[in-house]
Amino acid sequence: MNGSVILQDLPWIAGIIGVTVLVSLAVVLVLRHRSLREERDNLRKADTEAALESADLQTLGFHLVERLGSASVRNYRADDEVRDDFDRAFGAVRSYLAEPEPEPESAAAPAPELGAIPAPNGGEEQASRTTPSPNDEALASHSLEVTQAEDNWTALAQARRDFELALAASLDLSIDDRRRASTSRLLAMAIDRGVLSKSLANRLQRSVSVASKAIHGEPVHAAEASESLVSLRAAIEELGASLSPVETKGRRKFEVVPASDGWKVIAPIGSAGIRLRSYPTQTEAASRAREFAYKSGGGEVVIHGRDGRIRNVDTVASSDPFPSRKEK
Amino acid sequence: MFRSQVTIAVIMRLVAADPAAAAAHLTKVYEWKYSEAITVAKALAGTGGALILALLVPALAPDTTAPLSVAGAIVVFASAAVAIGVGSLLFVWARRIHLEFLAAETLVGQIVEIRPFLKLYESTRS
Repeated sequence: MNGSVILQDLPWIAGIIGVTVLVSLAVVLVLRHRSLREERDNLRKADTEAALESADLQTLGFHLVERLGSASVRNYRADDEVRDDFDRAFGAVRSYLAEPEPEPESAAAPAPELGAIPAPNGGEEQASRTTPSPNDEALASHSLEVTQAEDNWTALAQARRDFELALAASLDLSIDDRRRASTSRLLAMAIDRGVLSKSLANRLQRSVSVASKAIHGEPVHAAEASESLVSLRAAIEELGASLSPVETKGRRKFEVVPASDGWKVIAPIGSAGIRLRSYPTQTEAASRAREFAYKSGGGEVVIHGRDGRIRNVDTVASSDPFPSRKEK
Repeated sequence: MFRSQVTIAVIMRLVAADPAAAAAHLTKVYEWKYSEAITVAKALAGTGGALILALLVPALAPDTTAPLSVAGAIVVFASAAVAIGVGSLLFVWARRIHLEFLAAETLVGQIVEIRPFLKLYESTRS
């Protein structure tokens, strides 16, 4: 090929190059714009308020990881609304984890030997409702196995969370009030209202401090972790006994029950039923209960009437957005 | 720029598994994205430059038997301008990739704070 031929074809070659570059640029811009718009639409569909108000690990985690997590870093950098959504979600999660509680002065006890489970405190604990019983030995050995088999803080984080919810429910606090009050404040309120004795509250305060340390990655003795786990779970069981029981064999049950200020949803956490926030109407409470059941992996939503009788039972599957109805 | 975007859920899972590895992985990914963008930008700028040089051939070799027409010269010049322009645009986009990398690093720092929550969520899901 000589130079003359190349020169003759040069405009064609240059034209093809120019058109190809322009078309490629247009396609890339359109695809980028479309994907950004789809991401933003998906994020706007998410029920952010309900997820952030929920005290449920699965609901908050699903919202943060599955919903907000589908956004790209590019979208996060470019869109202020997306950054705001993430900041609020991170704030809700930090609130869920809570800050490490300062250890109470009166609860200072010598650190137990590694591998040994210390005997429960005697004397003033005897009259307490949650005085450790022989059943605690079985619970303690199981707890030690749990904390040794998996991360300490996994079990302790869940126990701390469940304990806070159980305590707030027994004090009949709303989610907002619970968020504003630290665990120390909740325990002080429990002492004032006679729900817990002062000595027991101090012991539980120490257990919560140990749980907070473990959650925040500070070293915790296995025995100290186990003792804290035993105390927290015993307290949850005891506090749960004063609430409406929720059967957990077979399907998980979410109950809508009448309350003095409207209607409440009782959701199963551990082996105790935990009341979530109040709703003004039965319809709204039932809708939220179905949402919690759906996001928690399915279950039954039992709707009670003002007379306490069961009015309706809905079965919610985790993958079926249209639950079947069973009239009773 | 042609590959799939880095999503925040991926960063969360990486941080939940190993924060140090997450930071290293993100650095590598964004290095690749940046070098890809710079390579394409250089290729386009080089192509535009080559087309401009090709326009100079008739001027430097006036004894050629097939001189370039005016219309042809305009087409070549326009294509060169497009190639160089898009190449320049890609250099600007490469800077945005760096800003995106900084945003990802910031996210890693925030996600490390809530790592216990993520591990708890993953453990209760499995």
